[in-house]
Amino acid sequence: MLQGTYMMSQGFYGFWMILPFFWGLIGVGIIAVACIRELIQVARGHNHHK
Amino acid sequence: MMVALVASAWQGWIVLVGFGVILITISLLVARRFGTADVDGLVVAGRSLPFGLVAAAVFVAWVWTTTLLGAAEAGFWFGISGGLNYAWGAAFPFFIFIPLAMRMRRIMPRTTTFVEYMRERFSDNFAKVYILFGVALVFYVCVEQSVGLGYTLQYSFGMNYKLMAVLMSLLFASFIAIAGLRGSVYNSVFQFFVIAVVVFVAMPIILGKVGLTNAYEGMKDVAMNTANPNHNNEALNLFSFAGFRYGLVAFAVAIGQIILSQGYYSAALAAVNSRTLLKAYLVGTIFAWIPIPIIFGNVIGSGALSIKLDTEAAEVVRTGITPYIFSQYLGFGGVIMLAILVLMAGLTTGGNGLAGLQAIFSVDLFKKYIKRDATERQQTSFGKWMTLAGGILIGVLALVLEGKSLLNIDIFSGILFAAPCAPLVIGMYSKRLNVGLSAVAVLIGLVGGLIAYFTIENPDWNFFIGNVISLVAPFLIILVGLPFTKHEFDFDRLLNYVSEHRVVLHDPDEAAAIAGTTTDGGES
Repeated sequence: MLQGTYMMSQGFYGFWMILPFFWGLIGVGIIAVACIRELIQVARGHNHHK
Repeated sequence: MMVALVASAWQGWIVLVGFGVILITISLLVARRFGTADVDGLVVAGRSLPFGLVAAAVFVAWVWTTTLLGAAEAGFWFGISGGLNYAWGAAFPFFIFIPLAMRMRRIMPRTTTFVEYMRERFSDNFAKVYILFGVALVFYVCVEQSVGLGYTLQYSFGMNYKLMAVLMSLLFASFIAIAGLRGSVYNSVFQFFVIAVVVFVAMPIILGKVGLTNAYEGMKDVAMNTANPNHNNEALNLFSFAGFRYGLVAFAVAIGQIILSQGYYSAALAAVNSRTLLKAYLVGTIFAWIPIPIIFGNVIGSGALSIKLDTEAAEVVRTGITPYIFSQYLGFGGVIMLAILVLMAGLTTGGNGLAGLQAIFSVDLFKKYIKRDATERQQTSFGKWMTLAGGILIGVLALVLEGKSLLNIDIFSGILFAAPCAPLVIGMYSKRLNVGLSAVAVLIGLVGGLIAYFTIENPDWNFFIGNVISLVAPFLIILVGLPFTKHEFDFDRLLNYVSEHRVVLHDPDEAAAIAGTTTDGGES
């Protein structure tokens, strides 16, 4: 190994490559569910306090 | 060397016309359903939006074309730390903005724009300076999107850059002019789903085709093999110093783009209450947005490094790293998916910027300085026409910039928009801050940043130091100067501020803080 070279292990590399997908899916999923619910409310005539 | 695939112009027109029709139709439906005759309805969606709509709008507004393409390049140049550093650098300013927006709602519940706040907190003349900064920021953001969209459509479909840059500017100007912030938000929801589907379908496929083991071995070779053309001994170091410095620059550039962007204040004020604002901004940024640049940095960076991508190869230079990788791993479908992704990212960011411009024109310019007795209908009409005029001007500026590097514009934008942040932020909390100290601090920060940029010869450091001085110096000058001022600002003045247009508050906490929940402005 070259001097001064730090390298993450293959296991951690795999974890770090996969993690953002689950992380992002949680965030996007929360927003998607809320949006769908709110759009259905609008379609039913609710105007969100207008 | 494999050749990157390019779709044909007629396929590009199908994509453009298809999405253009959908976006304009959404705006027309929103305008018909909710109306756009009152100022508050047009520029802050009647302060009544729920969590999901605000979160989706914040998420897509902050997904720039550079979030995708820039983070991917960071992954290539800095290795595994590139995406992470892009992500924290560009997201961290939101942790300053969120408490700022919540405080603004609490101390000045009836404000609509940050310019109104600057006018009441400091002075009319100082607010005019912030109008210039706010408008300049919108033009910078929107021109960048138009240029990015023009290039993307040119290299993906072989379409004419000039025509596309102008057409894209007119497209996002149109859907904002038709239905204001509410139109932008409902369009954002559609674009949110498109972006989410493309990212979470295309990127796992690319990662699967690259293969985790293959990607790791490729990265290990980059880190250990000095003969590797992309050798970087920190490629597998998540905490590399070069990557961290890149994150700091991303932070210094992003903070002004957020703190001085009326579009983000409009979205924050459009949330039905402060709790909704907090939840929407936190979920929209931490949970939904931050993983996107990390995914692009990780997957495209590793993918490109594992095939020993030659960045000087004509094909890569022509298209850029991300389009090249998309076409190599996903073929024709990848070209189309990336084009749609960039199209959505650019249109939403441009739309959010112009929604902010519309607010400044409708609220701060027309009635204040052009027609004192204007009705709300006249204000909104002026805002809509100015939005369209802004779209045309943005298109023209994008034409002028054809073939020119945007790097210098980015450098100046970072230095220019970081300096004015300090008075806006500190003025929210300190009653001792006055106009004189604020103006001196901004001026010194701006001039100091520019001097540092021009006098430091090392190109790796001049941009960084220039941005840091522009951002930090005004904060330090103000904090050091505060004990010496005798000024005592009365925050009740902001609490009792009555807007010149009709404002209806739906947040019981804000309504309780002031007498009555409804204020009638110039037109009741």
